[in-house]
Amino acid sequence: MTKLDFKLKVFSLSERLFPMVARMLGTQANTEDAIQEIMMKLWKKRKKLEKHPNIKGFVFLTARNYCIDIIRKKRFLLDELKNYSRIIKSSNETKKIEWEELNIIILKILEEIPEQQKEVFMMRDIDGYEFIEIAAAMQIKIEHTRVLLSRATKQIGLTLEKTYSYERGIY
Amino acid sequence: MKEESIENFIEKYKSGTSSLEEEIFLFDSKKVTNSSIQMIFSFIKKNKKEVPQNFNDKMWMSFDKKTKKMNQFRIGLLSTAASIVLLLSIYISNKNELTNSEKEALLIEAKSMFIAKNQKEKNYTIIIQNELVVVYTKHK
Repeated sequence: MTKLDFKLKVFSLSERLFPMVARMLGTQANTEDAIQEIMMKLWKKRKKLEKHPNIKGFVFLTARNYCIDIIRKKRFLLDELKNYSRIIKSSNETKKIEWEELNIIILKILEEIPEQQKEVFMMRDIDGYEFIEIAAAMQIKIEHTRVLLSRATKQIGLTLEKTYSYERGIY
Repeated sequence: MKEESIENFIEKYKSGTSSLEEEIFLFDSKKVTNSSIQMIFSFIKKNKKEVPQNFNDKMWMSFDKKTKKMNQFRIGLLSTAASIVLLLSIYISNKNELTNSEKEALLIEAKSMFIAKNQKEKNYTIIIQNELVVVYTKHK
């Protein structure tokens, strides 16, 4: 694989990797460094990569595994929660508090649902990936990703309804 | 997208069969009435990460520099290794050859052997010599 081929087939996916890597690792600086590292890893494997039947899928899988490794090493999971609340941008203080509350509630729900469901929900709805990309990154079937997403959405919706019904005094 | 299809889109979204375009439309729609779905969409919209402008180009520039440096380093390393191999081979091939001083010592030793032979010959004088017989005197 020539450098130009690598640029067109692999490196061009950097923008697509950004949402997932940024979500998993937090800051933009971390994200850029991580994507550089991922690309260097792929560059070193370019001879094998050339023959791979699903280059795009392999790139997503490599990126996800890399992020998981980093998270495991640095125990980033707690910071991830902090990062979510850090992006809150609201001019209205009340809305801001409401938003913070909702954010915390949904994050708690996400922590409680099965890991695969959470990951599919994040990759599809937050990162905006196609099912085929999620399936490749998670090494599961496309249909399974749809099922996991559907279950996650249903679970989040039900728990939210329950939470806000209690708050409104509807039992 | 048609307004009347919002409920259909939500159903599709819930069953995991909506497309990304439909989902983008749904997340931005203000006509979603279901409160829990609204909350989920609000969460999704606020947590979406925006890709910086010209991200690929910026990253490529940095990547290109790194790989060029790596190549230069590799070339440097290879040439150093090649030089070491060359020097080693020269050293090994030269190791079997004699140094100048050793050669000189050998020459002197060889010369001394010739002198001894000449001196030995001088102790005898040939009186008669033909094809069959050689007659010597003991001394000159």
